[in-house]
Amino acid sequence: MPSNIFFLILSLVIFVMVLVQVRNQKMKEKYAALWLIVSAVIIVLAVFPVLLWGLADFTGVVMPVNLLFLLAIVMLIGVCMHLTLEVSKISDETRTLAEEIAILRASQEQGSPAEMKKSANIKADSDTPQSPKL
Amino acid sequence: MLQPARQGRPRVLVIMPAWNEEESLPSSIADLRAKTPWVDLVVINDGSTDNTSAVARECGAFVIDLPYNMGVGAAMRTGYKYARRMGYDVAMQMDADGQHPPEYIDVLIAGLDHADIVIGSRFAESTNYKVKGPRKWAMGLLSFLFTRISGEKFTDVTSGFRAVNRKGIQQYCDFFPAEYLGDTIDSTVMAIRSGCKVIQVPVEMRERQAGTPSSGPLKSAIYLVRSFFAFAISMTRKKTSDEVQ
Repeated sequence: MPSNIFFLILSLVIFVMVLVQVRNQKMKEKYAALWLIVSAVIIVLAVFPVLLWGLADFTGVVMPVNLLFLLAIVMLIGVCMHLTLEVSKISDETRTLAEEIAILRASQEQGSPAEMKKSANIKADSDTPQSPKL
Repeated sequence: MLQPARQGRPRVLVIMPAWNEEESLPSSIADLRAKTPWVDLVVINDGSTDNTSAVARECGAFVIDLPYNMGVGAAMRTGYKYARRMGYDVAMQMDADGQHPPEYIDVLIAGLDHADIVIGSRFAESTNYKVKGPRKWAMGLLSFLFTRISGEKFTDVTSGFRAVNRKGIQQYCDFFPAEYLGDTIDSTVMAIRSGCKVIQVPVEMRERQAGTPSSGPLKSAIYLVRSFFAFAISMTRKKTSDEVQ
């Protein structure tokens, strides 16, 4: 069964790659978990193809390999969804940070709207000759 | 915080989101200063690529520069957050292109006596503002839907001329999506659903001082679909909780 060995090697490579990334702190465990689960499932199915046949029989899928593809696609969609959710969350967080920084910088550089208005009024007053207050 | 602006008057902050508005900004600011000198102004520069920030500062406005373009909604939320932080009684939202006349600021604030959010809407009649086609249907449909969920009469809910009290400021800080149309429709629906009283008062608007309004049949059709989508989505969303963060 050469195709099984091929799948086994492929999933082992993915498994090890993910583990190495986690070890080198390039990938968070949170995201690694899904990939590890995906490759673990493929490893199990590659080592024990009987499981896949049984599952195909049970679900009524004629070609076991089609079931494998289906599973793979579903898992990849899951990973993709997870990533999309995380990206949305991160963009929300950067938005909040950007707002915060903008407010802080404006306060530090310019004080407050009330002060700005006051100094604008003083400037306007001093521009007109008949009001020499302050 | 330092000086009560005037006896009996609420402290009012006008939030003016500006994205590449260097042409119209000076006249809008000057107009506001001349007609309502007692309000405070903050210009939110939404990552403009022109001189909006410098121009606004020259006109003596307090400018919050967002580090990158984040959309009108994000600019508004920044303004409302600032209003909350500085403890303003009323926050107002005005366009930088000069189509919202400062004369009506008092009218909108007066409306806050019996509401949390007051939308200044164009008259159905007696106005130079003409819309037709999908955009008109969208406005009609939205007005109908808003009237249904709130019990108040609405004719133009997407107007960006608003006055908001403390409760409304809190609500807008909690929920103000950055997406176009989300910023007016979504945020209003959520405000109504979380118990804010939203009303509209008639306001006469001016022509834009500079810049081009977005129109065209395709754009209008997209506008219709998007506005309805924004409404439908926000109706299915969970209400924002009453907890104060």
